Amino acid sequence: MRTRTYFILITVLIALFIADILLGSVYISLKEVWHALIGPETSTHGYILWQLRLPRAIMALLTGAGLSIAGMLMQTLFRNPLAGPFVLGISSGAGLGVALSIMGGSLLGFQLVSGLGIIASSIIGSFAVFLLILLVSLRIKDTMGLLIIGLMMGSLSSALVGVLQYFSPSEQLRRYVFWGLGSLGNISWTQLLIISVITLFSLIALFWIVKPLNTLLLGEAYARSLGVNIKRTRWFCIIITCLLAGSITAFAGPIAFIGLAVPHIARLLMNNMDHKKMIPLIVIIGASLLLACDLIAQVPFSNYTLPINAITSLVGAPLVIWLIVKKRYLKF
Amino acid sequence: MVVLQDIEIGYGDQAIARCVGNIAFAKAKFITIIGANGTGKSTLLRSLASGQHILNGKIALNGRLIQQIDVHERAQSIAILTTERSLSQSLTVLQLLEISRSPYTNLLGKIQASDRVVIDYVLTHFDLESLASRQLNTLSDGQLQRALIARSLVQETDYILMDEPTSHLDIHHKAELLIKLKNYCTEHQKTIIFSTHEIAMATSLADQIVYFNQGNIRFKTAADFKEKNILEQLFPSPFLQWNGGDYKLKREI
Repeated sequence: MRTRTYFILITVLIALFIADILLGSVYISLKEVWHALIGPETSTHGYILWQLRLPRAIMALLTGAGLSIAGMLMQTLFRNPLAGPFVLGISSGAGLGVALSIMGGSLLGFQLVSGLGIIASSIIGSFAVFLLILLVSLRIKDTMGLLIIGLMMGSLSSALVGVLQYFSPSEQLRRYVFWGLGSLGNISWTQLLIISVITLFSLIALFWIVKPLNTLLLGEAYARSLGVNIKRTRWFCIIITCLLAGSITAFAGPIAFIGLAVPHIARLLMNNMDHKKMIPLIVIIGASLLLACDLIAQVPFSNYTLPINAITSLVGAPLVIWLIVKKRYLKF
Repeated sequence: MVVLQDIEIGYGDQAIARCVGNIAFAKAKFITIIGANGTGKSTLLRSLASGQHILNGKIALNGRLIQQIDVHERAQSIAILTTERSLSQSLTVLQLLEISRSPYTNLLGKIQASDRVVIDYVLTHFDLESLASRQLNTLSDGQLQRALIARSLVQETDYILMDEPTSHLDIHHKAELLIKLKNYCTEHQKTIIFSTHEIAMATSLADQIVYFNQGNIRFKTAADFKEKNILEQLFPSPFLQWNGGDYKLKREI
């Protein structure tokens, strides 16, 4: 991977980040952004910038990077090119957790409205699904079986959510439905802080598993013979994935395809499987891709905002198909 | 020194082979394991590598039970070549070798000059330089096998276990490989323990022979083994005419 490619990718990332701030229902020029940033927050543009655009762009950055890293971890752990937080039902598990806390809570007579409560239930939900899938993957070595079980977990979660919806009052129901469409907006700075801390913590934790992840590319038997503690590595991967996918899904809703597609784009770009080199690239590409999706979702110069989950699927699904057609198979 | 003491190996509660008394594998020996299909050759190698599948008895490396040695420390003493090939197909041969240096590299797996020396030596010694930058999915079965053998050598361990290193190779490469491995043992003071079905080549090159006879693990020097016509007992077949370490096909029965 040449320095020049990195330079281009980082430039693209910065350009997308700035574009995401400038563009939206109203256009804010760079000059106005500068004034709003240093000046008082009272102006309309200042408000839009501080309360809407900036949190939204930062959220897109963190979400794109976090989900892509989660996808990479799962693909390496399962040594399966189709693994990703969405495909394996992790996001559905998080959704079920959120549904239980938003709608189930009110049925039982208490309310979980705090951000931390929703994050916690989302992480627990994704953790539960991940454990189930891991348990199955220990018994079934078959890739197809795993994916089918992931799909089943997805429909099982949505069925449970459906039952919950039937019984819940309209206000909670609306909240959940909006959550399910996925949105990078409406994020407070406090919530952003929580997600930043979790993402940063996960990225730092990755340092300890870069080498074990690389040995896992040789298969578990060889990894073990190279002195890797498989059990510990597996738990490390699970915890980081659930922290990332769970916390992001809690606020942004289920976001498809980013976690699946970005690791493949990175592998294609650099033709190297070394996780040490792949992680920074995946972070940059993931953040850029979601920023681009968010730009499209905001439909600049109009009053519409499209659900982000629909855009990532619209962009991501053809991308994965193209990767398969071009490379004949998804590499692993 | 690796010592097997009254071991019984197998799966669950089903023992497939046992040895009575002690078998000791000394340093710098070229040892072959032979036996019919399903007699427990691979199981024995796996038991030696990690202590799995030992139902009774013990295996010790330099006086310590194999299961009790820390995985990281064990990775610096014992390397293994398995018949399993669930590797990531987009790794290059060089990356495969670099990752296999991980018992010696730092937290991030950085390859140092000393690692480079070992890798280069193995690449040149086993004619793999031209394949170094090739991805595993572009290699033929035989080339992949040679890359995996190189992988087990770059780990620089005193004991190298190989499950059928000669499979997938043509007869020239089989002979070349076994001769090179034998020389590698003496030059570098390493012990290679390998299973194979290439009985003629293995018995003429090996210092010692482990063989499986009706569920019993036996151990003999190569000279002893040949003298006693053991092959005929191990592979009784109406189609074969045994003659020392060699055989002829019987055309008519």
